[in-house]
Amino acid sequence: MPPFAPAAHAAAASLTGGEPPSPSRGSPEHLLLDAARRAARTPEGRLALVLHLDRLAPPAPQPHHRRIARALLLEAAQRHDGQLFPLRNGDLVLLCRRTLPPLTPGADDPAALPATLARLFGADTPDPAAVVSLWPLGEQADELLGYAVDRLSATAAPFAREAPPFEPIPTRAPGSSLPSEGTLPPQGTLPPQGTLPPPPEALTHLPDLSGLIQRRTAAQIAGASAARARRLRPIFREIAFSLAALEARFASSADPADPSLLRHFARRLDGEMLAMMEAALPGHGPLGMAGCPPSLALHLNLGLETILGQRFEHFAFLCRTIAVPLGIEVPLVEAVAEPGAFARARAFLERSGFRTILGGISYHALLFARPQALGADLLKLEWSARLPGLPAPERQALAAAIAAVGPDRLVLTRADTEAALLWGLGQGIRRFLGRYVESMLGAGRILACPSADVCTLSQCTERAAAATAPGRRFCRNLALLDAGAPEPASP
Amino acid sequence: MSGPPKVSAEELDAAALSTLARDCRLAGVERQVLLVRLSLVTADSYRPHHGRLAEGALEPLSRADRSRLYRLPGHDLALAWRGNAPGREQEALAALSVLFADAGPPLPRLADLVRRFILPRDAERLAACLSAPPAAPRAAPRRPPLDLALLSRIERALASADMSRFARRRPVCRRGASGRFRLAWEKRFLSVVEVGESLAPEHDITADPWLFRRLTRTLDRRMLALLSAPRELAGAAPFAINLNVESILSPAFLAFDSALPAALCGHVTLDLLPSDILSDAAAFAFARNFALSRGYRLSVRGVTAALLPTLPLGPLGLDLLLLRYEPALASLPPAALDAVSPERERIVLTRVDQPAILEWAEAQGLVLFQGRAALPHP
Repeated sequence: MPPFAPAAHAAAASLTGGEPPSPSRGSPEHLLLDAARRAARTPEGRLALVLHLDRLAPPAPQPHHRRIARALLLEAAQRHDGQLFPLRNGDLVLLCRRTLPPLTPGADDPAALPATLARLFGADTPDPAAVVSLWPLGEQADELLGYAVDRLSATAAPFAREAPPFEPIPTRAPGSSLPSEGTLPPQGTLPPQGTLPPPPEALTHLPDLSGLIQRRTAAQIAGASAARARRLRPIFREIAFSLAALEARFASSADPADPSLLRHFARRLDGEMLAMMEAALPGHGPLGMAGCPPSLALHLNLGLETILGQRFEHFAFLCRTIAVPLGIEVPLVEAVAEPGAFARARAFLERSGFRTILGGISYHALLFARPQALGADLLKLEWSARLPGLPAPERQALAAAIAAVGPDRLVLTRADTEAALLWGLGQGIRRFLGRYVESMLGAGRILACPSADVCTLSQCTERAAAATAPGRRFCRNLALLDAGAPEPASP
Repeated sequence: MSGPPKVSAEELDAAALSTLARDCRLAGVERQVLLVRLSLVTADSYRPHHGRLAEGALEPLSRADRSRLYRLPGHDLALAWRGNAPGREQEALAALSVLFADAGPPLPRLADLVRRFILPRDAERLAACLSAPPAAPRAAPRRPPLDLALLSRIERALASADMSRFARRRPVCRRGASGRFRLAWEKRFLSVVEVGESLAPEHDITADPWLFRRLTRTLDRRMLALLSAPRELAGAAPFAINLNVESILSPAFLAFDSALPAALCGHVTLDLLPSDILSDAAAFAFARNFALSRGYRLSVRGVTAALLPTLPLGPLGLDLLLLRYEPALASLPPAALDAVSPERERIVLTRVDQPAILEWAEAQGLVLFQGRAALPHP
């Protein structure tokens, strides 16, 4: 059997042996409606399964979600005399025969697919059951017809969204253990996994790297809740190359989805970062620390090789000399890849009086692993919009994981919304990094600044985040801007 | 808890060979020994593949009676055997004579490179040779890391390369009731070292961790294509392969899954790296759930003593943990293994190259091993 073509009509035709549809009615939605009408006439022993991939919250569904789900459903279609309809909104619809009791040992039942799919998408949606509908056609043929009509109407609408096309995937004939040779990728013809971008040397020779730098200010909230927050205190300023900015810089020519290459680029830029910071650190510019309160730390994100190198020793000496409290962030993935080097780097930072921060920790990572065992001073947990809606078992497991780390060792990053702040406070977290707390800091500055009559809150927030002088040239109170927040009033 | 001696495997082999020389002298037992002194080769001329070629050259003699290979400090090798095996000896010497055909001068003479001892007559000479100050550690020439241009060339070359020449197998064994080791499953992998030496001999392909990560994804796809070839897995034993999370979700894996013989369903283990698991934990969870639903077993590999407390098996939802032996393990409290998994069947100790390591591991209740000291009985 040849590989299935990506188009829905080809898949349906090859599964049923029927004639290809006419081009005018060849859309997958038309095909589904025709099939639903036929199935409604002889519904006995058949079922419909809809995988609502469009109900997954971004960044899902990703290509691998579609690829794997399609492979599973295609296999069920082959085994149970079925058809698969990949619709243009990303949904997948399977029509097939039911396996009627008594089930023979080892026989699989397509009615069990929802449970499999729910397990599969368990990490990507708080309610995995909601992404699957199963309709036995004897009783619920109308459900399928209604769904098919809705989909056809939706795709007939202007600006209807189209799902990305599927790549062909190999199949095997039902019952066979080995595919025919024609289904295999022959030696030497594997497609490349993505075009490699230009060498990073080109990047480091760009006239201005400052556009790749982000300047963020983290804050600590004193008080039991957001409503009762007594004080917002800037605790560290983070200067880092933005992976997103790097990705955007190479979007036209590179493989933007390859995080390995982006990390390679970021590490190649470590030297540039140290050079820039050495020059800027003693001054009053956007990357300088001269105007900052002594309690405001500087956080940089560096690779282990850089931290253990000679250049960083010079930088560390400079920070000690001008009394800048320094914290170095190492991504969790790099620490785990080289635990020995991470331990040496952490020991060096500790001897130098600096802090070690583990970054890039998703809530999944906190559920799966115990990053606190690596011994960093602070851990940066990434906010996800899924966090407030986690199912109870995950919610409890995460609460236990946070308690094991100690909420006072956590910084909630990407805290760009009030929901993030409230969730973090609910977990006992007091340190935040993100646009929401930056806005709160900005509001404090606006209230205290005598020159703020011509400034808006968003202008003040943007200027505070600017990593270049032009980005803040209209600010008339740079001292307050760099301090992050006004000095607290004396009691 | 008694830990294994904190000496290198090479030093232990050297001690064992010295003991053999002494025992032969005291008891008048006859043995033949061939010593290959790779430590005499300069750093500029030596490459890691010379060590493997030298082992290969000694392979004919390894079939002689009572033969044993000793890996000594400084990359030296010795092979001891009983009785006369002139044909095999000539075959080995012929292979050794061309060992450095690809290297430039200065090279030691063959007579210096290969020394021959007949025990018990030469026992003292051998002992003196072994007790001589160890060769100065060979400063491994630091090769430059990959760059993007070279990586691109390697990826293009791999697309059409015959990968079977890089394919290797390594047994994972458990000790049976008879005390002998029997095969639990095979590890199938592509030799990264040989890929590097073949396609980028002047570079260290592992030196840049992120470009190497990208390269491993290409190797995953080639490995999966290799295993998907018709009849490749017909009659195969249960096996494990290294994969990246992204590779499990790739079309190449779906092709492999389709080609997998029914007899192997449930008997294939996918070994993942901790850093790969944590780099995109959501993708990992999806891949894990998919692979488990298809009957694969999953493991986390390359776990060291430093990482052990970070990776408990239960929350990861994996079947196995591949724990790399290193002396630091011996200093961990016994509860450290319990924290990973109270079920010792779920921990595989790798790099079990010495009996002392095996002894320590069995004292910890471990039952699955990979390494030279735990090879299956033929």
